[in-house]
Amino acid sequence: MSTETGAAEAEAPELEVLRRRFGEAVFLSVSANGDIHLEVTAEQLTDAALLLHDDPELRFDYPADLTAWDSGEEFVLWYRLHAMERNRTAIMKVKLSREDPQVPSVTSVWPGMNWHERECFDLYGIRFVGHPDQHDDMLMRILLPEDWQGHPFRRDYEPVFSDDPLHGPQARN
Amino acid sequence: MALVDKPLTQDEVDTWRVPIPGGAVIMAPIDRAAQWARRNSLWSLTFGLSCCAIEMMATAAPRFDLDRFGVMFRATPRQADVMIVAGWVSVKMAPFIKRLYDQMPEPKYVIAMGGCASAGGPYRDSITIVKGVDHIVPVDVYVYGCPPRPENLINGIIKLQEKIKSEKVLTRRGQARDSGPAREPIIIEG
Repeated sequence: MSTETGAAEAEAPELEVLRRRFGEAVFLSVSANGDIHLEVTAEQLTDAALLLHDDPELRFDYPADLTAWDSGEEFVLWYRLHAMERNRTAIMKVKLSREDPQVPSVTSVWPGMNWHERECFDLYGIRFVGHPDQHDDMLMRILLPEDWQGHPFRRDYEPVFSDDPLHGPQARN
Repeated sequence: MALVDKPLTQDEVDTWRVPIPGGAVIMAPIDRAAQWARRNSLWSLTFGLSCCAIEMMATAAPRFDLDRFGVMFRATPRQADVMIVAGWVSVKMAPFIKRLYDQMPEPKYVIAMGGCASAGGPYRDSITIVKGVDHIVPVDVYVYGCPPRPENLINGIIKLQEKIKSEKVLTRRGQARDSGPAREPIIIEG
């Protein structure tokens, strides 16, 4: 996935800024095509997001994508960010436990992440604390109907079909 | 299109002619007059759900020209007589289709266009797709195809016109049932 080479790192001066701020606390690498990969914990996410967005040497101002992945043991969030002025891409990964997937929302940093976070909640049940559409610890669904039970992209999701066509299946778990 | 399909004999016309001072009035059976008016002004509701809607738009465009059959698209359910369900119906969309159907005035008809609207199509195993629009509204004509060609949709509309021609106006009851096929549904097979 990501190969750390001396030449690629020399072309990624952003790594120095990130190392200065986080030290060895975050896992940093540069892929062959020059994308910066960093892996942070949920506690570090807010600080990392603010640094990536606000630091004049980084300026990752464009939230390209946010998606999630259920590996079976844990959830992995992928924040794909872009620096429009310098044409650089950063991919920030956050690993979460499947029992209590919860991360702080980054909508205060990138307002465009609003719907992406709702989509991740809708399909994976990951809760984004501090999201504008948060109600009773749950986010507003974006793709599925409001009364849908469960999160269908989880690997252990087993839908139970109801007879009512106007409502979706009820989750078994 | 004429009011009646076969030429009337002079005797029949004479029985309907009511002489009044200064002229005469032709009286026709109310069934025939209402059937004629209804089947030649099937105003359709403007909405499409997926790729079948492209074929529906092509059918309405000048090359196939649904206006020839009196089918005009109206942008409000309160002026619509027929609902062409063109595409798959997701679970999230189903309550809104049901609401649109309830807002249409009687008499109202439903054409399930294509495999998805008829029975779920290739998405029949999906948990988010309703397995046929007849689960939520009664369907009069099922048109096969994925998507149906414009000729096939026109075929369905003509079949619906023939169905209207055979129904009694004064005794036609409203669609009492919430869902399921309508009375004597027409299934156009491939």
